[in-house]
Order: sequence, then C-alpha cells, then structure tokens
Amino acid sequence: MSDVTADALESYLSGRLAPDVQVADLHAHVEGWSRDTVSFTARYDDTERRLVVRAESDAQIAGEERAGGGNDIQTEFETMAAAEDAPVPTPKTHWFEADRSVLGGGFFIVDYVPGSAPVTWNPRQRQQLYEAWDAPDNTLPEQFVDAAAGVHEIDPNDVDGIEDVDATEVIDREIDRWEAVYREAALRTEPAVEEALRWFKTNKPTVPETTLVHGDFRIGNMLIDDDELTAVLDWELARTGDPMYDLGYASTYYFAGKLVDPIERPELACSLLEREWFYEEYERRTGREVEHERVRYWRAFSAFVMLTIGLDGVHRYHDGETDDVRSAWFQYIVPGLIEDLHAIVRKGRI
Amino acid sequence: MPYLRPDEVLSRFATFARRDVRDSLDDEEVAFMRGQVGSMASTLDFLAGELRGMKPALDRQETVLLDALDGVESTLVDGAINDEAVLDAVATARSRITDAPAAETPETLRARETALLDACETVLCAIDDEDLDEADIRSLRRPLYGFLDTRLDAQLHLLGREVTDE
Repeated sequence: MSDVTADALESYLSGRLAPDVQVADLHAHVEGWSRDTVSFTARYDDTERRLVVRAESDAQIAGEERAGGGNDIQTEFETMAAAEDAPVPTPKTHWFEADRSVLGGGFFIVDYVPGSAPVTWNPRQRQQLYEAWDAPDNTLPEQFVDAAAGVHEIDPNDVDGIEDVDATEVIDREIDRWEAVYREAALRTEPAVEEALRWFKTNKPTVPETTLVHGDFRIGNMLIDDDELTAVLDWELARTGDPMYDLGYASTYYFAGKLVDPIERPELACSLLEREWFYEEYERRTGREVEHERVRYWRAFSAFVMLTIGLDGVHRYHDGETDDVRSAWFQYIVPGLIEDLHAIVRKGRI
Repeated sequence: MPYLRPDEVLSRFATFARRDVRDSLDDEEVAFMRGQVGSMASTLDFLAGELRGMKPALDRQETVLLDALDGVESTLVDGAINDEAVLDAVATARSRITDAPAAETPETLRARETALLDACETVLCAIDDEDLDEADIRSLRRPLYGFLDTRLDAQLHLLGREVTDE
C-alpha cells in the first residue's frame, strides 16, 4: 500500500482546501486490484467533505505493469476529468499529484460518490440486478445504456495520455497487445485458446470509427445507490477503440456472474439488461448501428482478455511475485471463459 | 502420506476456512483478509476436486485424443486429402503421447497433460498451415474438437459442475 495517512493528506490539502484542514474517517476500499483507494472526510472552516484518494499501488510504483498495461495514474485522472464533460456520471475530479514523496505514490483526489459496486458473482447481488431489470421503469438498465452512450461521446483526442489509433488499426492493436500478455503469462499451451487466437486473426470485422472506450465497462465498475447509477469508475483501461468493444465486454457471461455453472438468466448482460434491448437502446441513443457480429467478436475477445488477465495473476503467483491468494485462485476462471469463447469461435472453425 | 486422504483434508480445511475463519472476520478493517480467506477456501475446494478426479480425467482425455488422431487420419484417407504435413503431425502427436511419462505422480501427471495439449496443438497448427479447401480443413479439425470438448467438460466437472449428459 502507498502511505495514505490522515497526516499526509492534511499536509497536502492544507495548501488547497484550508490551512487548518482536518482529515478523519479513512476507509480503505479493498475491492480493486490495481490502485490503492481510500475515502476520507476533510473538515475545514464550517465545511465537511467526503473525498476519495486513488494512489498508485506498490506494484505500480515498482514499475510492474498490470496485465495489458493499464494507463498510468495521470492518464486515468485526465480521462475522468474528460468524462465530467460528457453525459457520464463520474466523481468530480480535484487534484492530481505526481510527486511520490507526498503519499508514497502518484495519486489523485476526487469527490466521494455514494453507492456500492455490485458483485455479479454474488448470487444475492445478482438477484438485485435481476429485480432492477424486472422493475417496470427500468431505471438502472436505462442509466447503464446512457452511461455506455456517454462514454462514447468522449473524444480520445481530448484526453492527455490516450493514444490516437486509426480505426483500421484498432483490431490488430488489441490482438497484438493481449496476445503478447497471453504469451508471457501462459504456463503451457492451451489449444482451445490457440484456436481462438487463430479465429481472431482470420475473422477481423471492419471497424468504421473509433471513440474513447472505457475498456472495463461492466456493472461491477459502477456505483449504485438506491437503484440509481451514481458513478462509472475504474477508467485505467480506457483507450481509443471500437465502441462496440464496450458492448461486447459488458455482454460476456463472466461479467454477468458466471464462473463455472451457467447463471440463472444468461440473456441479461451484466445480469442487468437483456442484450438485445441493450443494443437497441444504445442504437436509439447514439444513432450508431450495433453490428451484432462485431459485438460478438469483441465478446469473444473479452473472454480471451479476462482469461489472459487471470493467467497473468497465475503466472505471478507461480513465479513468486505475489502471495495474493486471488492470483492462485484465478486459474479457476479459465475453463468457464474458454467455454464462452468457444461458444462463439467454434462455428467459424469446424 | 500415511493416514489421511489429502483430498479430504483439503475439503475440511476449505470448510473451516470459510465457515470459521472468514465469517469471524467481519470487521471492515480486515475486509481484505476476509477476501483472501474466502479465495483460499475456494481454492482448497478446487484442489481437493483436482486430487480426486485428475487421473481419471486425464486418462479419458488421452483416450479421446488418440481416437481423434485416428479420426484425422481417417478423414485424410476417406476424403482423399493428400497432405503429408498433417499426416506427419499426427505421427508426431502420437509420439509425444507415447513418449510422455506414465501418469503416476503429480509431476508426471502434469507432464502427461502437457504432452496431450502439445500433441493436439501440433496437429491443429499443421491443419492451419496447409493450403486446403475450407471444408477439408473443418472436417480435419472436427475430431480434435472432440478432445477440446472432453478436456473442457473434465475441467468444469473438476470445478464442481454436474455432469448431465452421461
């Protein structure tokens, strides 16, 4: 963990909020993998504000890249700042600090937003999402689609640190990037995955345009408070890409909560909204045609990305780089993801 | 080791870790540890399943793969597909399986599993590299997908999925 303490935060904020600012009620949010995230209360004058600091982890400080090379923390901050100008619920951004001597790692501070991120692998929380879909007003599903459409309104050229990529190069870039991670991570040959890779390379759809893509767009990266979507979080995989990538990614069975056994309502993306409805509503909001075959391509590709991230954790555990139990456990997500991958790829191979 | 079955010990440890250890860590301050113990319990359960079922699962995969290699050969002959490279790959694959150590210890079990995977991939690669009709390519791949399916079913079964079609 970086050194996020009340004293260090008070010292930093004294020059920004008020000289006598008091920091209390620190709460570490341990759900994430990549950054250290701590919420806290800042009191000054007659004001009390709940804020969140997101800091580089020890691994990032040591220069150990996340699988697939997530964006650096400044780019994540810049992306969130750009999202504030788009119709996407995001926490208001305040300060970015690159100086690692302040908190032990680069960090940024944003407003605290109430809500919790649903864990779709938890059957009880999955049930709550089903109920949101079954509710007559569809509030949460509607907001989910709004968020997808809003993300794709962000011009990647407006975000410092996001590389511009031509639409004709998007797929090759994704394949090259994730295949390289897979080759590094895989502890042995898995023909089912090799077959999928061959399919990805021989069935590339045409991508007509690029937008900013969130890159990890799923209900588990959103805050829900009282059936309202209050924030889209975890922007560090944002990049220039095919907007259909986010739709495919959110449509995987994995992010609907499947690990080994099929889930109860596989027709629901993220266990929240029917896929077809999702795509139709997205088309209606954006005027952008949702090509189903392209979404299916990215859905398969997303399963590959997730198993690659899982194998990267396994590799680190194998090499003794981490003792995080989750890294060893991650090997068990792979068969379920291969099943989903081949449900799409198989038809094109045999 | 001499007395207790390792799979049973792992299962019991998993139950203990989940029910006694994790559930006692209900303070917000130790949420990270609760998650770690939960993952550990789940891992112990999966390891117990692997210990119980790995050997028969691997035997089954080997049988299916050998049949699949026969199937690829038959497809070449029956379809009058004249392709020496694929035929050579099948022979190489068979040698890999034959040369792999008997699956008796955890190490040899893993080595044998790796040999099966390499053997399958050798033939799939050879099929892909050849300039054949699309229909021929698909029919050559098809028997090997039987092996991929068997392997996947075995993995999911070891992870706890009920077998429904046997």
